[in-house]
Parts: sequence; structure tokens; C-alpha cells
Amino acid sequence: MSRLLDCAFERRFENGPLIRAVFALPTDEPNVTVLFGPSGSGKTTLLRCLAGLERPDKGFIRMDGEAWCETSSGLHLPPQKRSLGFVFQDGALFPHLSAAGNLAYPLHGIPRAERLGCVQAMVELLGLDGLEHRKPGELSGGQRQRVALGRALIRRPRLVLMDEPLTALDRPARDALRHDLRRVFREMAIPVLLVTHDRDEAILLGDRMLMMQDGEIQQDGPPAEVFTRPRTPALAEALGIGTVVKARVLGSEGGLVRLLAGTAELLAPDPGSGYPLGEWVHACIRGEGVAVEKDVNAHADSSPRNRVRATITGMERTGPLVRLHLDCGFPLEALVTTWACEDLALKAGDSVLAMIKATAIHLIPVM
Amino acid sequence: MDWQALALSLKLSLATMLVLVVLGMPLAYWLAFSKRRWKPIAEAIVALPLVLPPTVLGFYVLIALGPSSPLGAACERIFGHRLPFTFSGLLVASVLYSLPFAVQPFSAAFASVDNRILEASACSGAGRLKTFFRLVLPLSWAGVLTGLVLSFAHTLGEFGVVLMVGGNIPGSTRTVSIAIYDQVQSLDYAAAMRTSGLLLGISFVVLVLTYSLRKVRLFP
Repeated sequence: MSRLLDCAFERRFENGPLIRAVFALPTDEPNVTVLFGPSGSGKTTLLRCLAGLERPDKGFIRMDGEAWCETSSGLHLPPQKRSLGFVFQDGALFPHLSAAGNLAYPLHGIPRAERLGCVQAMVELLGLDGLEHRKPGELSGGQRQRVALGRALIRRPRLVLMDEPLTALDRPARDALRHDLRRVFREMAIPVLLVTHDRDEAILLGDRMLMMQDGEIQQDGPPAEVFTRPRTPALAEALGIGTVVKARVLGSEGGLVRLLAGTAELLAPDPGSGYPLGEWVHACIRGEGVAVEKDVNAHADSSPRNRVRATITGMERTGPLVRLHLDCGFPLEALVTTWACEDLALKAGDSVLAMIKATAIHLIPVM
Repeated sequence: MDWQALALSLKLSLATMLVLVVLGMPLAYWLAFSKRRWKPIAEAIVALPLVLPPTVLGFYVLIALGPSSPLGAACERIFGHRLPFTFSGLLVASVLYSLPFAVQPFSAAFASVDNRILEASACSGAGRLKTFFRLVLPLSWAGVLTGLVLSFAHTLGEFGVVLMVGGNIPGSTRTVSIAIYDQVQSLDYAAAMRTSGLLLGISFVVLVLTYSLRKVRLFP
């Protein structure tokens, strides 16, 4: 039997949208799948159906060949029988139990010494030393989410589901936990399905991304690919980046980072962490920050610092705007007005000069 | 002072409270979390003693436990004696009469436990019993305490039902409230004053203790 979480189900809300989920995730390799989409797109419902907290109206959920839910035969395993961990947006810790008590809660029927060992290992893994006896009310938001994560992982379940676990945190706590998440996921080697509407989180944490919109999974692929090449204009709008490309740091000067993306050199603002030479980063470029010039030999008398020669490989109209697909040593998206496009008589195959504002480039480390 | 009547009242109140812990908690849990369509009917039945005159309730219990009803006959076989006009009969009537005073606070307290906490427990693999004893009960202890004390105090002050079902047998069914009634009937106002004062004092102290305890926070 293939090691797979295999789902195809529907859930309809009264007078509400229809949520449809058809996908499969391998469960024999550690991987993080991000479920990304705007709020109201049905991400949380999908997650709750997987957990058994909600009942699909139609379809099935199978884990490694074992049916968790099968509406045709009326089978619906309760969450208790599904071997999973669930991290809620606000943690949902048990307020009267200490951090250690919360961590130990899912461990049933194992000897006390072993239980304490598991809790201690989790405390070390999540950096909760010294906080074991504190109640949730005495912990910071970030610490609470760490406990919630530990509680979901401690049984070593077959699947961990996370519903926007970082959304409720302030910026520094979010950044710190985000980096730790990746490490913890790797160490635990448990497949994770993580719901988020944060692009950075999706790119940083996801090995794979399911893009959800209007209750359906619209695109499935590595995050950088989904962000760079959305299947439809509506998706592009929801994703809202344009280009995500892997680039290498060549150096940094005056608060700017010099990058090599494909064959093109780019300058981008340093977000402050000081990227070491040779490190890989994801460069995210907003389509509105890219302009094109017909004259490839135009002088550098305009403000955009990044000027690269490019070929137009495709064009797509989205309302008053045109999405240009360019090849400039890496695939690049530019968003220009229909008017400008007609004025310059742009067409596929044209050579142009692409100008990218440094401030339109946003860097996310590759981990 | 009729110490025998006071002791009997306290014994009846404690016994009623204990029976309501055993029977009332599962019932309250069911009322708090069930999604059955006929739940309102069950809720109404539980609440009936709040609005019915004690004489009506007492009358029905008397009939139901009497030797001519199948239930009464069955009880007679099990207990070896008739239930009406005995302590056991009194206990059955008290439990019914005080049911809403225990079940309603229990149920409200259980229902007020954050649903996500229950979901988190289910996703941690915990069954219903573990969820109840480790989470629901500790998190709703104030409401449970209120229910216990209210049922205790309510039984202590019971009069109509006792008179209907228990009569007035010293040491067996003659409770404090009946004793006070007797004292007034026999124009012994001084004794009635003392007994009433004692009952008032006990009830007041129990309630004050309860409401102070409710303020104690078990967790920050």
C-alpha cells in the first residue's frame, strides 16, 4: 500500500460556499505542505474535515490505505482515532494545566518515567527550558504556540495539521518561531499540512503548496512555482507577488544586497539580517515594480536600479492591466497598463529592457 | 430545639446532593453537548420542579411510589418496604425536586468550556472520560460547586414535598422545616424562632462560603 494521505471530499455549508478538496500527500517522507489562500476560501474547513472535527458531505479521506472517512459507507472516525496533531490559531492550550501538563496530555497509558522523558525532549526541542511549570496565562504568545506545537507532536502522530499557527503572534515572535518551525519539522520527520495566508510563511516553510480559492484547490506545486506562474489571472491577483526566483548573494553594500538570479544581477534592499556571501535567498518581485522600455540601449537616467535585457515570452490581459511574461535570465513577471502596452506596441518575442525597482524586491532566506 | 429533625435534614440534604452528583452530572453533560432535536423536552422536564407547586410533585411521587403502581410495587420488592413515609421515599422526592438546582448550573458550566479546548483534547487522542475529568470538570468547578450547594440548601429548606411524601414521623421523615411548622401550630413561637434562626444561619453561611470560594482562581 502506498504511503499516502488521499482525499476527495466535499463539504457544503447551508446558504454558504461549497468546499471541495481533491489531493494526495505522500506521508512516508517528511514534508511541509502549505495550504494557502485568501480568508474565506475554505482552508480551515478542509483542515477540520481532515481532523474529523467536521464531517464531509460526500467523499473519502484515506491515510496510508486506512479509511478515516468514507461517506458512502457512513464511516467517520472521530479525531481520537486518527493519530494526528492539531495546532489551533490561538493554541487552545488547557488553561489550568502547566506547560508540561499540556505537553504530556496526549500521552496515554505509558509509564510515568517514559512520559517525563518525552516531555523533557519536547521542552528541549522547542526551547521551553525553565517554563515547564508555568500556566498558559504566564507564557508569552510565542511560548504558548511552542507548547501547542509540542502537544501536537509529542505522540509522534502520522500527520500534523496547523491552522495559521503564527497569525496571532507579534512580528518578532513570529519570525523567531517561523525559523524554529522548519528545524522542528525536519527533526520530527512528520508530514505537516499548514494553513496560512502569509506569503513569506508559505515560501519559507512549504515544500509544496496547495493554492485554495473559492472553496477549491486551484493549483498545486512548489511555492515558488505557484507564486511565479499562477494558472489563472484570478489566482495571480490572489497570490499577489509576480515573481519568486532563487538567487545567490554576491555581496552587500550600503544597505543593499547584490544578487545573482539566473544570469541577471539584481540589487535589493537588505532586510537587516545581513546576508552572508554565497547564501541562497528567494527573491520575490512584485509585478507592479517592473517597468519595460522598448529601447534596449536606453540610458540609466531613471530611478529603477535594476536594468536587464529581456524577451517577452507571453502576454495576458487582466482588466485594465497586462501581465507580461519576460525572460531576463530568469522568468520575470511585469504588470503594465493596457495603454502603455499599446503605446509601445509590445508583442511576444520583442526584446525590451526590464527595469526593476530595488524596493519591489523582497528577500526570504532559503532554509 | 429539635436536634433530631436538624440532623435528619442535614442527612437528607447531603444524600440528595450525592445522588445528584452521580445522576445529575451525566444528565447535565448530555444537556450541555447533545444536539438531539428533542433536547428541549428533556430540558423542560428537568426544569419542571422550578415551576410546579411542591404539592403537585409530591402528589405524583406519592402515587408513583405507592403500592398500587407498578413502580411502587417494584420498589417495595427491592427495598423490602414501602417507600412513601420513609427516608428512602423522601430521598427520591428530594432528588426530583432539587434536580434543576443541580443540573442547570452543572450544564451551564459545562457548556461554557471553550469548544476549542474540547476539540484540542479530541485531537490529542483523549476519550470522553479523560476529557471530562481532566478538562471539563476542573474548568467548570465554580458552576459545579454552585449546583452542589444550591441542591443542598434547597433540600434543607424543602417543606411541601416532604409533607406530601414523608409525612411527619420523628427520626425518619420529620425534617427541620416540618418541625418549625409543628412548633408554630402548637403556638411555641420561641422554639420556632430558634429553629428558624438556626436554619437561616446555616443557609446563609453555606451560601457566603460558596460565593467566596467561587472567587478563588485555580489558574491565572
